[in-house]
Amino acid sequence: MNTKTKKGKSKDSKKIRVALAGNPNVGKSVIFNELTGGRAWVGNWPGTTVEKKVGKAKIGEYEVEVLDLPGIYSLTAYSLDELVARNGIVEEKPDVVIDIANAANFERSLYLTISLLEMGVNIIVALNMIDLAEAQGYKIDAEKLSKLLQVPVIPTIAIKGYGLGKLKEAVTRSLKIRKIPEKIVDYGNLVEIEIQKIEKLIKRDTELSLKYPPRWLAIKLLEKDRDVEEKVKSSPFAEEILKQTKKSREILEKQLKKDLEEYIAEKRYEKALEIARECLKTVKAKPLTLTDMVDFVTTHKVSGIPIMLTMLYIAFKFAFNVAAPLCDLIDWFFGTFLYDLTMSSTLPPLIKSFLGDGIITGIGSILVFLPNIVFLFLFLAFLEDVGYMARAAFVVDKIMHKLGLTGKSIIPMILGFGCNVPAIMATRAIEDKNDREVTALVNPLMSCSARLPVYLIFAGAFFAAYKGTVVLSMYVLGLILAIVMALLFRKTLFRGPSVGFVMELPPYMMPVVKNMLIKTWERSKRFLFKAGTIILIAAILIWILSITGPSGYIGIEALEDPYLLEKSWIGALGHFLEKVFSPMGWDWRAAAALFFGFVAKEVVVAAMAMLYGASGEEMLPSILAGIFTPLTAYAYMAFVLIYVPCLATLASIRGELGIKYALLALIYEILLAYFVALGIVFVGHVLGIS
Amino acid sequence: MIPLAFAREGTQVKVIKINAGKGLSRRLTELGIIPGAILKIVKTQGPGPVIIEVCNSKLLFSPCDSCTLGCSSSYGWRIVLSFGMAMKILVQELM
Amino acid sequence: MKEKTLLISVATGVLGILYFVYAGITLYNWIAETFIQEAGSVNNVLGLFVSSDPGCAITLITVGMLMLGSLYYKLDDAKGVSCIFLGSLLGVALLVIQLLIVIANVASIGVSLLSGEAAEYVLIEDVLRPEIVLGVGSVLLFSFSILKVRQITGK
Repeated sequence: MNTKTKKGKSKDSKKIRVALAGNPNVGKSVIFNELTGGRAWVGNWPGTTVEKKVGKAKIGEYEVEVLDLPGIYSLTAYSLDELVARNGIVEEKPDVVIDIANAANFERSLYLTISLLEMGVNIIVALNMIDLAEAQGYKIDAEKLSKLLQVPVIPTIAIKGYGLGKLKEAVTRSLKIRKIPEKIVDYGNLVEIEIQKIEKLIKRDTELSLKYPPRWLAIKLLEKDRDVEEKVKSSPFAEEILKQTKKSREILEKQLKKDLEEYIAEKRYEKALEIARECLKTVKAKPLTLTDMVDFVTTHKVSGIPIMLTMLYIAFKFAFNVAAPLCDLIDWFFGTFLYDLTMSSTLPPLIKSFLGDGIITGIGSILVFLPNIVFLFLFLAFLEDVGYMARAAFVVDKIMHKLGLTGKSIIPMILGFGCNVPAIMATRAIEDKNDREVTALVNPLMSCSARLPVYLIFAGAFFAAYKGTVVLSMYVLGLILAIVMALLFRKTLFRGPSVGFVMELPPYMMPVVKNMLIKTWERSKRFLFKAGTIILIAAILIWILSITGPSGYIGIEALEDPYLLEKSWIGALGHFLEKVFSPMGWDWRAAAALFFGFVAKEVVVAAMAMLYGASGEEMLPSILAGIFTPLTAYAYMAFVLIYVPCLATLASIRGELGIKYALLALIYEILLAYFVALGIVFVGHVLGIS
Repeated sequence: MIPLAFAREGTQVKVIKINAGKGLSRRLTELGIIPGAILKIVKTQGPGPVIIEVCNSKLLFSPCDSCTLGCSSSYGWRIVLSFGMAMKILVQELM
Repeated sequence: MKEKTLLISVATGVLGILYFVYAGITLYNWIAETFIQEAGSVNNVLGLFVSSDPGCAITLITVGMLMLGSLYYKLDDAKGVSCIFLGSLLGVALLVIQLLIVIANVASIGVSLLSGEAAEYVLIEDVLRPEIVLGVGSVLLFSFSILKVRQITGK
């Protein structure tokens, strides 16, 4: 291979940028955290929903900005992740790219390495997970690899911190001297001739040639790469280049008797295999691994699903029972301690009420769930990092398909029991567009933790002995409806066979606690800030709407006095809705409470307490017993389960899928909720229950 | 020549043809599933997803002689393919 | 060596059956408490502290299933060891979770004391549950299975 050597840029003049590239699951985030200490700014790549993670690190004497690119297998323009990563390199021009290769899956990683080299990137290869490779019985000759690729290769075990010092040294060296191999893959005489032809034309455009390596452009054009075609179109020589490309493609497809793109990709892969063969040494025959043994059981026809259910059970026990004291503590802190403190202070009554009934109650109602959500996400992060989640998805896939979903839908479904907001974001992992959209649309039917207070109050008031079962029935109802709607959607609006998925089963590994915590924190943060701000605004809004009315300012006494409250905006709203809900027998207060549930479902209970004049939520059950009957109460619970995703969830759906889908979710859920509640009351009457 | 989906568990197969569209073929290529690649069927349960291990490609070795049911001298991790995908990959059983 | 394995096999079999038995009791309790108005749980009758949580029953069945499965595949075979390894691991996990729940319940009492409420907690009920009692057996089997796994994977 020929190499060009360039002098590096002066380190004082510009910001130094290092990008991390690699396959998914190779330990990229571990290395990112090691370099930056876990401090990252998370945003989006402009115009996309793909996450962009940037951090700061000190490498040698340089202050460096570290850019974490999405995990990718190659650099085509087919997948959004790959395109984003590619453009991230080509447009942002990092000074060094650390290509993190997986020693335990060598050829596959090499494919990306070769693609990067073809792109003319200044790379260092971090050969990670060499311990796993050794455990599987083979060693990689890093020096030989370095010689073949003509770039530095550093063996690392990121989780243990091994090799990171040498990695940083290699980065500093590469910043001073760039080495870019010229021709890495020989595509065979026929293709090489055509590449030369196109390259010659491209080189005429000096600006284009400086911006992108001409050979890379030529190869990509032959691969019909849309993104590269766009880049070339802006060149003054575009027409000639594209015409030659077309001619070359025709010649080659006739001569090769094969699809040109496939041929090029295969040749690239063959090169990866060739290099792999030269550097790989089998040390001993691979013995049976722990992963093999555990997988025998976790993917077994008989035990696979029970194990999954057991994990699910443990997840919920952990998230709800073990986190309970923390929830109680927060509830006490806000509901009793701070509230009493505010109310007994000497501030003017209006301010006191604003702080106490508005803000403190509002914040408290959000934070009371935080322990549940954090614990659930923590356990899920553990299952993901250990590697079990992929097996779970495999095990449920067949069933999920019958239900109109896919195996990968299981993760958003489980997350949805904590909070629908991060659950909807988790649907990104689903490849098939239809599957992804349906999973996101039915997700709000998974009872999030915010609905639990409503269930508990009603179940406690009307079904005391059977409280647990009734609450369970709500969850089950949600699940059944989710399945029904998924099937319905799949047969009507989202028709089409599933594109199918490909999923890696990584070896089981001891999870790194730091990474688990970071992942949990990032997900919980989303809930906290997205949901939190909205709920806080809602609480304040309710407060305002309670103390003012069509006739003007009523006063904070309205919060204590239901008669005064009736005259407020809330009362007006409730009366209006009462007519709509009359067949279900819900009075104006229940209807008004539902309205606030639209913003955030946990607000329903607080709103009811206020509307029914209960001085505390403990009084509510006795008051409710006088207004609802068990039947209407059950219908009400079902309505709360189904109607409308909370505002934060709607915002997430809009963010992930677009406003059309958010509206669809809104409409179908309201209709479904109304008819199910109606149905419950109707059936109850028919059966003679009242 | 049969679809991968119908290959028996525990056997080794050689990929002959891939009937997928551009995007899918590419994804498979990146994972090492190309014509000539040798795969081991780790788990398959009737119509449903298949777990395979990518053993070697035509360039590296011939089907590994010591590769019996207990063999896992693969250079890759395991991969799950959905039923639909497994139907599009045509293979030849080797042993 | 052979006798040791035989002994362990018997222990595994007994423990596995016990897990199934307790799962059955749990299910009975659930059905009795939920659907039949008059009948209560059998706990008082049998002097046991078994929950009526159907989810719990599923987990107990899973552990029992794996333990008996390890006998089906024979404990000297890798498949059998896989079963006992994961089965006992899950048994230990259930034990740990139940202990955590006990700690959490105690903590909750502490919190309610803060707000001046009196609260009662019958500790023994939550401790003498099958998850814990049988879980002890699981811990022992787990340590055995780790040795076996090391043997097989050559670590």
